[in-house]
Amino acid sequence: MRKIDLHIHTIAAPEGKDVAFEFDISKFKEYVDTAGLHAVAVTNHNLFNLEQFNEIADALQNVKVFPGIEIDYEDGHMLLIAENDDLDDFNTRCALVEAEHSANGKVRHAKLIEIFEDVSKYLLIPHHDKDPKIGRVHIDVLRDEITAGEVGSQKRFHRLLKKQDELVPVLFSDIRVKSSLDVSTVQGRQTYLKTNAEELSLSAIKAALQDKDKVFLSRTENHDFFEIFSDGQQLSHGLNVILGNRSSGKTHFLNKIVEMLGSDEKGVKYIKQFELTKIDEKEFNDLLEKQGGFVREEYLSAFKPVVQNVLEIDRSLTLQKIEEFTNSLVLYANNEQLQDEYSRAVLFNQRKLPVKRDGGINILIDAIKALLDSDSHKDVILKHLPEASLKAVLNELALQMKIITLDRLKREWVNELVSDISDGLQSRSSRPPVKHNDLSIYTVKLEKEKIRRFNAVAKAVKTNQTIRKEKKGKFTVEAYVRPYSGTQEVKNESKTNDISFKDAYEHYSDPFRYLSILKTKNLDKASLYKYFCKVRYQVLNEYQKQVSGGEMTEFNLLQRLQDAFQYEMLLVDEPESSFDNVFLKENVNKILKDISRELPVIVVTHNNTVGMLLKPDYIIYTQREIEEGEDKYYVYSGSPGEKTFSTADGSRMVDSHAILLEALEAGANAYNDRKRMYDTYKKN
Amino acid sequence: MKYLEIKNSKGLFNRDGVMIEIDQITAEDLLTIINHAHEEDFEIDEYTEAALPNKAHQLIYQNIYIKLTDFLSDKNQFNQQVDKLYEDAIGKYNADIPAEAEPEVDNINDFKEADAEEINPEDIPF
Repeated sequence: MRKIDLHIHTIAAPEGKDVAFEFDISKFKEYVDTAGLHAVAVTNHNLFNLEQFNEIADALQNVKVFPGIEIDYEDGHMLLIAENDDLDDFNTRCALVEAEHSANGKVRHAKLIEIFEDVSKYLLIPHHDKDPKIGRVHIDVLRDEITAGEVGSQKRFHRLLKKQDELVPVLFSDIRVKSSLDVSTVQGRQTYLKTNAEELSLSAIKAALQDKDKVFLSRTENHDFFEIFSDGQQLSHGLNVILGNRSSGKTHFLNKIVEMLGSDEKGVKYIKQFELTKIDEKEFNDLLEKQGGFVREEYLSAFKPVVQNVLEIDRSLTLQKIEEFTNSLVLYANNEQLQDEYSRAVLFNQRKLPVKRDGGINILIDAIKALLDSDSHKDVILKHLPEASLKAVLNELALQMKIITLDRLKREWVNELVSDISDGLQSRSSRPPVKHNDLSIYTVKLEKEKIRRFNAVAKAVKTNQTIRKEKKGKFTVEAYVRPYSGTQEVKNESKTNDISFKDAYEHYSDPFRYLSILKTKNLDKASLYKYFCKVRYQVLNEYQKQVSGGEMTEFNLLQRLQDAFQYEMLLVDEPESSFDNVFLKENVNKILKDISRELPVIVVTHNNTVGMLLKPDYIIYTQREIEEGEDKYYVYSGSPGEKTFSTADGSRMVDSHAILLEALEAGANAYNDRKRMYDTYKKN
Repeated sequence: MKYLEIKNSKGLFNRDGVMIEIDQITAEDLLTIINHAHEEDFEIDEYTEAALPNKAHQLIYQNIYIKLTDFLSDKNQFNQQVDKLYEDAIGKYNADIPAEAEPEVDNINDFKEADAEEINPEDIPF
C-alpha cells in the first residue's frame, strides 16, 4: 500500500484566491514524514515554478515528488500532474497556462490540448465532489484521459465509491505549506493506493487509479474504514462508538477530530453533552411557532396588501360628508330668500373640476420600456414587434402622458383658486353654502366595494383549514388556520399587556369594523393583518394523532439531527445524558443508525443501551494509565465480535469482553450481581 | 328603475319605490341612490331648468344629477376596477363575495352612534 497526496500548494494563488503565505520547506518535510507519504505532487494554481520545484525535490529524498499544476479549467479546477522526467518541457507548457489564465481567467478544452498536445501523458484529476467542481460535460470530453476525481471528504469518498460508472475517488490534503501549518490538522486526507509496482511512477499511479478496488482511505485495505489519524487510527464509515472511563480521553478524541475537520463550515456537526434535551409542551409549541413563522407569512401574503389598502378608508368620515352634503344642499335650496350678492356668484357653490385618472398610462409606458430594455429575450421581442414601432408607441404614450399631466396640473390649480374664492364668498354671505360639494360618487362607491370585498376576504382567511402538511420521518407537521378563540389570543399576538382588545373583539365577526377599532390602538399598523386569524402548528404521529410528551422530544431530536445529513461527519457526546433507556433504545438509536448510513457517526457513551444495542460498526476504547507518575492515554479499537482490541500501531491489546463490561456495566462483578438480581426476581 | 324623475314640474326621487319630492331627500336616501348607481337599469331623468319652476327643486335636482352623471360616465371604468379589486386575495383564499342583496356594509347612523356620548344631566355642574 502506498500513501499519496497529489494536491499540495507551495505558492499562494494571485488575485486574492489565497491568503498570501511564505513557503516553508521544513514544514513540507515534517508533513511528509508525519503522514508517512510515498508520493506527493506540487500543484499550484495556474503556475509551475521550476526553481522551487527542484528545491523541494532535492529536500524530499525519501518520497517521490511529481511536478503538477492546478488549472482553472472550464468551470472548475483540475490537477494536471506530469512524470518527473522532462521538467523543462513541463515548465514551458505551464508558462502557457499561466499566460492563458492571465488573459482569459481560465483554460478551455481546446487551449488545454493546444498547450499540452498529448494529454494522455499526464495524470488529470478534476475536482469532482469538491468545489469548484468541473461539470459532467467537460469531464466527458476528456473521458479517455480522466479516471479519477478528487473529493472533499471521507463521506464523499465513500459515496463515490458506492456509485456505479463513476470516477475513482481520491482524497488529498489541498494544503498550503507554510511555517504556521499544523500538520496534525491534515491527517486522514490522503489516499492509499494498492499497487505492486516496484517504483511509484506516474504510470503506476495512473494504472491504480483506474480501479476502485485499488484506492483506500485506510491501510487495512477495507473500504468500510478510513484513517482519521496518521498513526493509522481508523474509523468506520458507519457507526462508531467511543467507550472509556471518565477522564480517559474520549472527549479529547472528539475534539481532535473537530479541530481537523471543524474549520470547514459544513465539516463536522458536533452535538455536545446535554445539548439534546427533553422538551415540555410549551417549549415545543414555541419552537414550532418560530419555525413555522414563514408559513403564516406565506399564507397571509395576499391578505396583507388588502389590509394596508383598506386601512386608508375612513368610512365614518365619508358617511358624515354625505349627510352634511345632503342636509346643506337642502338647506341652501330652501333659503333662496337669503340670496345676496355673494351667494349669487357662480363660484359660491362651484364644484371642483374632476381631476382625471391617468388610465394606467404609466404602466403602459413601463411595459414598453421593459420590452425595449430586455437583454435576455430581445431577439424574440424584436422578431414580432419591430423596434421602430415600439419606440413610436413609447413616444406617443409619452406625449399623451405629458398632456394628461399638464391637464391635471391645470385642473388642480383651478380647483385651488375656486376653493379660495368660494371660501371667501361663503364667509361673507348669509346664505348657507353646500358643504362637501366635491364629494365624488365614484369614490364613495369604490370605498364600499373595497369594504365588501375586504370583509369577504377576511372571513375566508380565518376559515378553519389546513394550509400546509409536511412529512418529517414518521411525523407529520401540519399548519392550520382557525379564527381567534378570544380576546386573550388576540392580546398574545400583540405581545403587550397594556392594550385592551375587548371592544375590538366584540366586532370580530365584522372584519371592517374590527379593523377600524384596531387601527385606533397603539399597534404597528403594518402588522394589523396578523390579527384576523390564528395559524397553529401541530405535529401528528404515524397514527395521525397529536404527539405525546415523549414523541415531542423525539421530534425535537429528529429536528436537531436532521441537518446532520449535510455534514461530513456527526459527533455526539453522551446522548444518554437527557433520556431514559427506553427512549434511547427506541428513538435515539434509530435516528443515529439512520444517519450512519449516509455519513460517519461517532458516539461517545457510558450507557449500555446506546453502546451495545446501537450495534456499532466499530468500537473505540480510550484508556488512561499512570506510568512512572505520568498520565498516558491509549486508544484501542476493533470491530464488534473481535476478541481483542488493539492500538493503531498494534503494540498494545486489551480483552474486548472485559473492557465492554468495564465501560458499560461498571465491571464484571457489578454485571454479574445485576444479572443474579434479575434472575432472582424472575424466579420469584 | 328610475331614481330621479321630473314630473308635473317637480323634481322627485325614489324612496323604496315611491317617488317623493326632492326637497325631502335625506342622506340615507342619497346613499341608497348611490348604492344603485352602477346597476344596469339605473335611470335618471335629464335635468332641464325649464321643467322645474321651483328654485329649490332646481338646485337640489341639478346638484345630485351632476354628481350621478359624473359617475355614470365613468361606470365602465368603475366596474372594471371593482372586478380587479383584491382579485389575488379573493382567489387565494376562495373568498365568497356576497351578492348585492346582502345587508349593506355601512349604515349612515353608525358613525353617529359611535360618536354620541350620553350626558347625564346630573353631571352638569350648573
